Amino acid sequence: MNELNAVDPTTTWMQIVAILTAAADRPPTRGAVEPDLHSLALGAQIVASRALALLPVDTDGDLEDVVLDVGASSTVIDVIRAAGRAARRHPAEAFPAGAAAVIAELEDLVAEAEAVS
Amino acid sequence: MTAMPGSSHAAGSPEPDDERTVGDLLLDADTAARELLWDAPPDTAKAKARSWGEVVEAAADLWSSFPDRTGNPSMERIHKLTLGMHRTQQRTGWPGAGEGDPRLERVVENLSRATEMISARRHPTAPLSEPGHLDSEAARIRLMHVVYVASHGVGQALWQYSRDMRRVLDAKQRLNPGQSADQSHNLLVRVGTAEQLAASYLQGRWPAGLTGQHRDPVEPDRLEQAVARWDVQARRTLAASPTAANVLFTVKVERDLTVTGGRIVAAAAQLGAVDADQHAQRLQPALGSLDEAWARLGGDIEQIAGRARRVDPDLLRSGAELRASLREITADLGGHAGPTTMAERADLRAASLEVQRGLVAAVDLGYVLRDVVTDPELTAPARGVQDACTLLLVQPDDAAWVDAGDVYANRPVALPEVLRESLAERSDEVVAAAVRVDSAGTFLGVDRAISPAGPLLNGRAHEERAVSVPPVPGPGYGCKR
Repeated sequence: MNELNAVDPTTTWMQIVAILTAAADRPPTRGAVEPDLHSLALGAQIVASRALALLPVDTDGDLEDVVLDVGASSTVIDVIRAAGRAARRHPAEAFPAGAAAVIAELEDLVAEAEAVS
Repeated sequence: MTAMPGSSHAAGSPEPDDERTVGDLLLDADTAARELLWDAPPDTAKAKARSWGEVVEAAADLWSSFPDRTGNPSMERIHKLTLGMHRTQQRTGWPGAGEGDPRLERVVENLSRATEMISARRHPTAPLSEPGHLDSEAARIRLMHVVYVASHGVGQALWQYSRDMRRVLDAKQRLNPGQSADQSHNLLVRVGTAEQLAASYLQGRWPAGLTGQHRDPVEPDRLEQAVARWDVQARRTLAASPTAANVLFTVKVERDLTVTGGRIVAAAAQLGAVDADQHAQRLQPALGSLDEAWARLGGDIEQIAGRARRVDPDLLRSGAELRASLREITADLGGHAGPTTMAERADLRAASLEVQRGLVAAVDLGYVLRDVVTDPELTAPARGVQDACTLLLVQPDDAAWVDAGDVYANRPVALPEVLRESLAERSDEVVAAAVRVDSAGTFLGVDRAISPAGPLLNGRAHEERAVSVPPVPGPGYGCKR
């Protein structure tokens, strides 16, 4: 069950965007990769951009400063799972307006990731 | 099982206009349960507590209506646990009489209707064919997922309610009539146990076990339309809004078309739907080169674009639709679809042709991208530009590539010329690789008249070119058709 979080919902939402962007850029884009993993990475980019669209433009600079708790060796599947966990830290109504639909898309993406893990 | 239709096809249907199948009803129940996670304020806890037992009751009824080879007792255990909870609720009077939760009531309604439809058509002990067994297992997994997600949603609301009651007790030493910190906590623990039981059933089954679920064949022209719409939208967006984020997204979608589309063509070759020798000798290596070329260009632009990738909504939608239309063929409900599964769902020869048609367009799109990335007016966040210069280029002797003040504030800056030249080389590699794919894929029979490999237009020329595009389709993410 959820615990009280020190991180406020808007910061958590920015973390979700940053985590999904990290997933979108994994695996390292040089060299052949599993087709399924590439499709997942594109899915992560789609959800990340939809999530970012809910934040005001003036937060873009702050997004670069978000520290990620994602290991360098994590796979795209691990990173997508981490985004899914972050989305559960707060109820959807605490996130920016429109978050519910993005969370539903994120859950679909997590299910896709689980399917190929 | 899950394809079993409702309405006029099912005896005793309460809603003659409802054409949904058992699979549709389960999916809607799953969606309603997931909506609980979006909205768990503590003032909904009592309503959810009232409806919870009905959800499990309806789930257990549906579970027992499926013919079952396995005899798995998980749902029975959850049901018994819930009956115990119900007795406790009656004894303690909490949460008491009142309204139920509308989303959970929707879950109950869907599950009850599915039970009616199956019971009207099948006896639970009737033998099942192998496909029927797999479909039945997929339905059980979906049903258990409904219970799992709903229990989490109910638990969230109970947790918040219980926490608030505890705070009130600490502050005032009493609660209002009808409130209870202890009973809500007890219920929270028991709902949590049900969630754990459901989770242990799903472990190793969700979502892989959904593979056996019956799925309708894909709509034949979905991929064709998605490829055409993407091609037009990418040019339109890059002409109107040539940002680093839009360029990067275009590159990522094109690479997905190359890689995932390549799987469709490979499946067609493996099953003899297209010339296997031509595929193995020429097209497959060419696709590998195109993948590499897109990957190199994308990797460089990832550095430049930074994290704030504000993609044009129309581009995002058409890219998502193209990805979904490819996955509809290459992904099964439980994961990776093999060639035979793909062939059962789509005409692989026709799908290969559409993939190739999209890949051929990459020749022209490569030129458009080259024009965008070499445009001196293209700007990107200073830190991304700095990172890209540091990674890709030798630091200049006399000055930094990017002003330190711009880097600190992460202001948009123009790309240094050397960086633009580097990106132009990457774009040239894409064009060269796409030309090879165009040539190697001629055996698939793409109409060369639609290929832009004739007179090549540069990127700016596209800005002046009027294009018509059909309305963008509704679904955005995933295969939701």
